[in-house]
Amino acid sequence: MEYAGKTALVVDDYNSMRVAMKDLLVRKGFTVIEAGDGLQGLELLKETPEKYDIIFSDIVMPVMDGFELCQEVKSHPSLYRIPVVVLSTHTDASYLLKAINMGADDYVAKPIEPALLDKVIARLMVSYE
Amino acid sequence: MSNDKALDRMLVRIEHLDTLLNLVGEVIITSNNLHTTNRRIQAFYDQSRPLDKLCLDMLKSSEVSSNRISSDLHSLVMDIRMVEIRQTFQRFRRSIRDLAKGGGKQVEFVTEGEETLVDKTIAEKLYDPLNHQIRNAVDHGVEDPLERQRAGKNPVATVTLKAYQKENDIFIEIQDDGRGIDLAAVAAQAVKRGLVEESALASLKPPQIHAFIYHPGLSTKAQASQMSGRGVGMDVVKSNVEELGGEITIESTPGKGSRFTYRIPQVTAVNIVDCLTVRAGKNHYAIPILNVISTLSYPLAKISSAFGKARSIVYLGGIVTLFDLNELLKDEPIEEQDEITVVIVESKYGRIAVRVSELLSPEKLVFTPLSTVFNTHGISGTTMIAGNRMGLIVDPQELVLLSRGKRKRVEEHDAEVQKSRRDAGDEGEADAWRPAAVAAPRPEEPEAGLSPGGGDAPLQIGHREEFLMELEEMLKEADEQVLSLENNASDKELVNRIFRIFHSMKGNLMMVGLTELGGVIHEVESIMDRVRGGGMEITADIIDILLDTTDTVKEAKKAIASGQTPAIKPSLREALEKYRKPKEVKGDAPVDVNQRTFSLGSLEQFNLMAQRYSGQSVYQAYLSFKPQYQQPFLVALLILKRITRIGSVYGSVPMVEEIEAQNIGTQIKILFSSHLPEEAVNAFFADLLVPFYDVTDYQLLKES
Repeated sequence: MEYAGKTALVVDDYNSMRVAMKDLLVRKGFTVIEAGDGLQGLELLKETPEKYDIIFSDIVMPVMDGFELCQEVKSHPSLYRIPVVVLSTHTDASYLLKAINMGADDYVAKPIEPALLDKVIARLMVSYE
Repeated sequence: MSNDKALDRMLVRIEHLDTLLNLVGEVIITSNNLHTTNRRIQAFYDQSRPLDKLCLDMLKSSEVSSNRISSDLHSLVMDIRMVEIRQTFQRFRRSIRDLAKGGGKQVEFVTEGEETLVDKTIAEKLYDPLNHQIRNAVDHGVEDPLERQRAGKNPVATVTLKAYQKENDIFIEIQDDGRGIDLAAVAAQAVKRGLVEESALASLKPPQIHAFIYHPGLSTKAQASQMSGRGVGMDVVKSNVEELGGEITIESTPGKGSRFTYRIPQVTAVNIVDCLTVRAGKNHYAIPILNVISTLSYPLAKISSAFGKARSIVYLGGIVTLFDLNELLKDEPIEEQDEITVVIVESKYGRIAVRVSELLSPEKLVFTPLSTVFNTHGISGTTMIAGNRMGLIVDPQELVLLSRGKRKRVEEHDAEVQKSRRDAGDEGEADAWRPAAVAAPRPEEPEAGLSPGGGDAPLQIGHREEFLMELEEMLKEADEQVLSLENNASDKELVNRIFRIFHSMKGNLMMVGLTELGGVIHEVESIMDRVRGGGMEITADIIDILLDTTDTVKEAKKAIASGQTPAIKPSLREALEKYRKPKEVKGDAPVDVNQRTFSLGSLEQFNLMAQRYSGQSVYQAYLSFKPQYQQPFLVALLILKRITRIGSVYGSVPMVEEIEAQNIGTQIKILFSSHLPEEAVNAFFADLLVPFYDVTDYQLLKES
């Protein structure tokens, strides 16, 4: 349980994706909190900013999409330190690019390759700065 | 529908589960009480003493509570099984559209009372008859737009499906504002078929003539259309509705339209049957109470055997043939008595009187269907009747058939009737009403010309079933929204929603490993993206593509459920071809990092100089990277972004704009400064970039 004690926020409007992500993350030791759209996620984050260690977010969602969530997180004084990973398909390179430009720290493509997920989490959870 | 029974699920309200949990708690308490009582009784028995009052009271109270629990459970399950009729209604939206389009008609589909709750079984069983009637309404009821205009009607016809509940009955109405039933044509057909004497026609009222359409094989269309009108139909619609214990009324006004109303009782659960239990010789049987007309005692002397061996009794002024229940079911006949006990049983095939030895009691019984392996004609299942005895549940329909010497199952019988009807010469009158199930099992379409669909790898992570289940919901929603888009093409929020659904559908397909299909959906999604960006308008052609796409996904879902490789229709690919954006002119070949030096803007130059004077180290880095699961240009940006966290980046080759335009290979040069000591910068490259960003090689040069 590499990441025991760490908490991840998973934001997706579809249950299946949240369930799948939660399953993968819980196996690594994360405590997982779920949100159904960007706004819900942002509200949770603002409530207890110190609680979260990493955010995984879908891009296309109702109410508040992933782009906006990235922007909000990265411009918030107590949230900007939390790495944001966006989830999308390879075919959505333009969305991924836009998300990265709007503050996303990394991305994982669907279908999710567990080896990549491991790598992305590892590189975001270490600090060389 | 039935082939993926395993995936046949429904949503259950938490509130219901809570009630269920409470009831389970009560069952446990009751069972504990029974256990205590049992031990008490045993003790009395061992000491050969009579039972005391307490024992009897405990038994009594256990009986009372188990009765209440079972009836609570029953009504709870009934509540859980309730679904909105919406889903059944919505399934017709698509077929009405296709039918209208195919017949050159304009039809608006209106639904009312979609929130009406019905038992799941009713919702499912209503599909066939409604499907048939909807087809009839659009095909025969509704006129061409031109004809409608000439008759002073709105060229757009309206077909309405309406549901409501009144007391314990569900009412379903199918209404159209078309030409109505042609009384003269129906009457002429009825005469031609010998259903009525021509001379008697004049005295018939419209409802009596309408009733002729229920007669098998009666079709007033000279030429059966492709879609419907093949005569077989209304008789089957009628028997479908009657199977649900319902009835149909017809109202029709020439020139104004028709309305069919089904009245269907809200039934009790399917596997709990109200039965009359009887004994026949040494056997115990249960007869579904719905089929029991009456029970009576009859003096043997009054039984008429006027017609040879056949015996009959008089019941309500009519003659009903009498049979021995055991004999019908091929067992020892019942012993003769002076006074016999008779049950009058009725099914859609007729009415008979069956003789039994003794009437026991009416009971609610739990029905266990009998495997067809047993080949027991006349028996549909087994049950435990009071006193822990095994009972056989009689199938009234088969029983009546057996009484006519037809040792066949109901399905065989029906198939035979259908066949003889076909053989009777009405070539076109095949049972097309029954979609796929009986008439034409859809071929599994491994058609020539379909894409081999290769390259779709299996799912990497679990939860495949969840993704597929959700796909089902997405498909339903997509169909619904796309059809309403047809009438609200400028609804921006609707366009957005459809865009999101297709986007999510793509995601789920990718998650279950259907990447090729996901790629196709991506193209559809891009069309919707252009529409929502204002770059395109919704046309009928786009609606067709959207619907074709959901069809393709449905087929794919079916294919993978049966272990096949899903295929993508070439027609869909072709249709999409038209909308494909011309390939973005990819700039030039990847920038060769060895051929170029950094070109800095004046601001970057100024910043760089300032850093040098402030004593921070400036580095030039050269990186080769080979990402395994990510796109190189995005990884290059991620690396640049990461470096900004240990310092400042002044320039790169290729430049950021070039990277974003994907003019990058797998090499990059970066000019940056860092506040970290040199060893730390080295560690950043060696311990972070190399293992975690797929950097295969790097050189780090500190400016002196």
